[in-house]
Amino acid sequence: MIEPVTSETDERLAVRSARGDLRAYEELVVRHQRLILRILWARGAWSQEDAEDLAQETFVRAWERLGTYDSSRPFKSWIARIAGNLAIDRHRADSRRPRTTDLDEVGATLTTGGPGPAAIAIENERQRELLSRLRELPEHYRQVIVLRFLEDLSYEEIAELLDLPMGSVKTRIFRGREMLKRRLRPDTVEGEG
Amino acid sequence: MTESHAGAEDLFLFSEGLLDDGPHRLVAAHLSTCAICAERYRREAELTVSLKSLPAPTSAPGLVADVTRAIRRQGALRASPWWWLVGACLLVLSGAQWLVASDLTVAGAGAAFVHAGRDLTVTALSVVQALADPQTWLHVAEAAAVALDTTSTSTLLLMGWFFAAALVAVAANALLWSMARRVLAIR
Repeated sequence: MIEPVTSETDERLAVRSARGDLRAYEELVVRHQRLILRILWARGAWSQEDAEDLAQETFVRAWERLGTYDSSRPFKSWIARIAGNLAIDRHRADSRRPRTTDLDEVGATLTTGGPGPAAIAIENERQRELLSRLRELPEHYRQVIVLRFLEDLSYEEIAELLDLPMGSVKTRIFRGREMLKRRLRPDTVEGEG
Repeated sequence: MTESHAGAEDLFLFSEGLLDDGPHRLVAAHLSTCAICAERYRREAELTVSLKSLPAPTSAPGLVADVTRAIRRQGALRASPWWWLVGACLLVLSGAQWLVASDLTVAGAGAAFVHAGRDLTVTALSVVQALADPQTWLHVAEAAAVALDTTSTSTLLLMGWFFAAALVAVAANALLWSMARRVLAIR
């Protein structure tokens, strides 16, 4: 993974980018690609390839709209919103035509692991089930859960990113997890012990 | 927390380290004595571990290059507002210079502009009309035949040079324009 190379703030880099500095913008792409990929993934970009395509579209669209960016607000939130809107647009477009991918394709990356074939199969099945149930959650629950547990953001960061009060973030995560637990088969969360 | 068991929200907040010291100690003490709540807490923690182990995408090695390429390809390069300002100033200055050089007032320039526009329209209509007339093409063909018969070799060479020079000028302009866009957009 490419590491960020400057210590300038996102907002300063965004201002430079808005003036046409493509180098500054590349730095922003490096810094935020993981977040954007995961937001898109959580919003239904079913494979890494889909997520990458949408991430590219997100960054290009953001570049075109840098003139509308308010540098007093976090750049991360701004670009996350663009990614979210793009994912919604794509989802609407996809829903009008039959899907060509299924969860087997989604879970293609789940086939690597350490232990024997049986243990791998069980683990893969559990992850597929969890992934499937996670994607069935309402958007406002799924998003916070992904940001908290997959992107490993703090509650403060999520609140800032989504422009929500901390209390709402906690409530959404709690309710989302409760819904997820109800939808999962009992053995999916329990583990082997 | 109820008297008998910890509430679901308390367990969640406990597992996330979000409880204040007092309630945190209470739940911790309860979990050490209540097997049912300890099991519920274990499931809560298991869910967190399972979520964290989901194979979400982490990075895309070629994304930065792809984004840069797409931005360049789509011609989405953005010139700095200062460059737009410089361009606008140059335009205004050249217009003013033309007014001064041609010894015209602004009103005179407006009238001249309207006049030129009208002439241009009339000429364009005449050209279209002529192009649509088969007789025109007959005359052109006859004139070309006569010209080829009578034109000297040196005149033909001159025309060849003229077209070659025009092609080079067009290519040079396209190259300069492309370079200018890059210089203006990426400083």
